[in-house]
Amino acid sequence: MTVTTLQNPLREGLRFERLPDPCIMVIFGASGDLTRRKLIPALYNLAYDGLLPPGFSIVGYARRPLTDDEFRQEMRAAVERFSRRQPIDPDVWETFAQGLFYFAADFTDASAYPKLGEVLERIDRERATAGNRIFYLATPPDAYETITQFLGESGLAQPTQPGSWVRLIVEKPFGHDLESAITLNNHLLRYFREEQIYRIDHYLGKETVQNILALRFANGIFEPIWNRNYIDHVQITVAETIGIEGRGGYYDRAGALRDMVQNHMLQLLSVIAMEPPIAFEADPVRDEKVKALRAIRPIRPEDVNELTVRGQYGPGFIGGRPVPGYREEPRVAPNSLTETYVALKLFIDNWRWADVPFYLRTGKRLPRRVTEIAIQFKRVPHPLFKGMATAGVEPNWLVIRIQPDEGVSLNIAAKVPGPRIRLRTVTMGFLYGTSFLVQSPDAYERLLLDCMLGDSTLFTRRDETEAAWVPITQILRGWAESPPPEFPNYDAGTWGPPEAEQFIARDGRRWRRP
Amino acid sequence: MRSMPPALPFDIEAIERELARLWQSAPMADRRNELALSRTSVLTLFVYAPDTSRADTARDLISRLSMHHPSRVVLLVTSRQEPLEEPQISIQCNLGIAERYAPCYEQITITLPSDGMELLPSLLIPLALPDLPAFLWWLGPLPCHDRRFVAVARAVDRLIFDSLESPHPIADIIATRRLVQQVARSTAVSDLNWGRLGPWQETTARMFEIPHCRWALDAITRVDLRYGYAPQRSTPNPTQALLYLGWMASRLGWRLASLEADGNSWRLDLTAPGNRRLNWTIAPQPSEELFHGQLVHVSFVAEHNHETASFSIDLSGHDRATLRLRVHDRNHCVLEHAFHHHLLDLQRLLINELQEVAPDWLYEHALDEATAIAVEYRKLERQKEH
Ligand SMILES: NC(=O)c1ccc[n+]([C@@H]2O[C@H](COP(=O)([O-])OP(=O)(O)OC[C@H]3O[C@@H](n4cnc5c(N)ncnc54)[C@H](OP(=O)(O)O)[C@@H]3O)[C@@H](O)[C@H]2O)c1
Repeated sequence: MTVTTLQNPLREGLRFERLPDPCIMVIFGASGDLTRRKLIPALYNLAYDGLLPPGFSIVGYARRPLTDDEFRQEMRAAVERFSRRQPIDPDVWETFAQGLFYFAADFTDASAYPKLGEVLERIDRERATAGNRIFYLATPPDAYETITQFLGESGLAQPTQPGSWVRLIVEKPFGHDLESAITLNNHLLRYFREEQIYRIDHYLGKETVQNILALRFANGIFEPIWNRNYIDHVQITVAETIGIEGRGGYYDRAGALRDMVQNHMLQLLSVIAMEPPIAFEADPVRDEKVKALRAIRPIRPEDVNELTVRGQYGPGFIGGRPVPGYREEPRVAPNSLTETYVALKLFIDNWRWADVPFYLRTGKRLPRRVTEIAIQFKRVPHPLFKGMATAGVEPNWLVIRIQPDEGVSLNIAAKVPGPRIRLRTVTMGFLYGTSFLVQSPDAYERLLLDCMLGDSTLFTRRDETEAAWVPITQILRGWAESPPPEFPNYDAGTWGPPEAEQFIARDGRRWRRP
Repeated sequence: MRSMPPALPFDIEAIERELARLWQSAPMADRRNELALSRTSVLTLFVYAPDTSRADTARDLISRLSMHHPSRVVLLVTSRQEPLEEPQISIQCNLGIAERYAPCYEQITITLPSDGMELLPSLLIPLALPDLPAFLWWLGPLPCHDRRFVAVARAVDRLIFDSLESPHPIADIIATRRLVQQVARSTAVSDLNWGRLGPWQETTARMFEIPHCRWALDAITRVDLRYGYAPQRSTPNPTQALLYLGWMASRLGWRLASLEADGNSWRLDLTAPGNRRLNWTIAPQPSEELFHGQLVHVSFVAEHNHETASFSIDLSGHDRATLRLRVHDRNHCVLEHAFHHHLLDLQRLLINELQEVAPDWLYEHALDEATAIAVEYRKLERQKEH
């Protein structure tokens, strides 16, 4: 909560309890895809809902020459196309657009930054933004270092007015391995303090993380059994039906392990595995997540092939339509060895989780879009009901579904009515979206607002990013030392390579059909 | 001797038995679409409609609300026809909301005799789902002068009504406050008309958070307030305006010093801490039916030493559903700000209310202040009559 909030007696008790201080958001890369598709529509939606403070302003920074008015027109077109609020409200747009400005310069031009500073000061005077700033790096990652260096050297990285603040938002990818992530962190920390840095992982902006924390820590019945004594194993699945959607240049260098596992999936794993934090606040929550990530059992290069499966899709069918193989996608090398599927088994070496396997799998061009965390409980110690009676009875699964249909379900065994003892699995479930009469906000809206409010709970801290890169870098190293895989090894529209089935079957388990 | 209302022609337990039978016979999944029917219980919503036209409004809204099923809805409709109809009981499931689940809710419609007030608690209590909050949404004028209504309100956790429906706004403000106090231990009361003020309050709070306007909060000298008055209505309804004033007065420690009324236009003198005087005008302004009784314009003037600032908030946009704030500094506009007033939509407004379980102390304090003004106005009226 902000200082102004407490000083104003009219604020107390109102339903919009969280209104940020007036501020300017400088978007580096303002003519790019992310700005157009996500950032400006999210900011407009926040304005429409009344969640932005009066005077809120945006300065778009990119190379191509545009006037403020041309920039406003382009952004209006972007909102018309990508906002979830249609049609555009002319009054809301008009007042929102009064706060939109454009600044044309190259990121590498050191002389541009003092000029940017003058523009920001002028806006402070005209729109009462009080020296508060957010710098958003919506640029190719190779520009991060230059921009932050020049911000630092021109004095823009630190607040200049008493009581004001300056924050930096960094997009993914954050490094391409442990070493580059450490280098980038060291660089950023030369100019900004850790509390000023907000590393985005838009998965954290979904309601999921808070829902998982609420499920685990606001209910007395789960925590006592949330451990190795009762849990057999955990499966985390992020399945996509889409291919790489024109992002071949980026994806072919990244691959599924970096693009999905290092950030999103390890974030999900850490909230499932973490110990109860002492408070629902940024640092206590992140302290516990980091501890869980650090406890991931190191992966030796010689074990990598036993603990992971890689895949790449060939041509196939999705929803009845033929789709090309990965190597036929634009801007992908015809002999590419980039993985579009990965399955892995991790262990968390601590008291709670010793020897409980966490199976993670993610892939592109899988048959259905689903993200879920499934926790399988151990079977009962003594099987009372034998033989035919229990055919078709699964062990208990607690499934936390993130998409589609965000919700929680629990499978339990129940007796089929009648004189004979026959058991069947039934699912008890509830959907978040239809239980509370409200829509979940879009992830970017949530994260942008949290950053303006100075709440970094849903952003990743330095030690978290680095801890997450440790196992990933170990796997990358192991793969580099292994013979190249024979790709493609799964057809688009199937659940990944056959090796993935054998991989889990070796442990006497199987993948859930999500 | 007091006449008793006729007994209802059915047994309450039969309703629960019928629901259990319906759930049993519902196919647990729609196999063709691979959909599982899902039942999640969040609350019980009782809806009271005093006539068939309001019952139609309620039905329409319930079917839209049920896109987000509130789990059990009991519609209570009064009828003048004899004999009373049998209750209608159904389970409604919505396909097409979620990919793999079809959320369902139970709907029960009960027809009541027109003098059925005393019967109500005996229906509300057994039909509320256990352990979950029970809401009663009362359509039409709130019978706040009827002593029997206290027992009705006490049978639920939250009573929702709309003071825009009030036939005698001034007398009803006073009676509502009495009711709120009488049921305070068991039931929270919410007024949808107060709910609609949310975006106005938010905008008002916001203007004094603009860094160079903070001084103005302690230097307000004049406030002008206009609310809509549809020509086809016989009397204006200043309740929302009074609640807004009541809210500011309770937050800022203002006290009513004097009140003058010229027809429906009021002039109030208030004392602020430090013995500062400020004056308010409250007046109706011709409007469309939709805005009858609703704030349409508020402006503030603040003066301190040689500084002057003024602020205005208006409903704007083609559908007049946007709140637009203008901040002026010696006559030139320095800042504008606008957002959507989503609470003009009844469905959104109701959803907002259904999310709250705790009493709203802000409303209660505002109602106290509004009551003080209403009492003063009544005195003035009586003096005039004499
Ligand atoms: N697009 C997405 O949906 C998405 C999703 C998640 C994360 N991200 C991340 O977000 C970042 C931006 O992605 P994007 O897709 O928006 O990239 P993009 O479309 O390529 O946009 C790059 C932007 O940077 C500007 N730019 C590049 N070099 C510049 C320079 N030297 N000086 C000034 N401006 C320069 C470009 O402006 P000019 O054209 O004027 O040169 C353009 O506005 C990346 O880190 C990406 O990984 C994107």
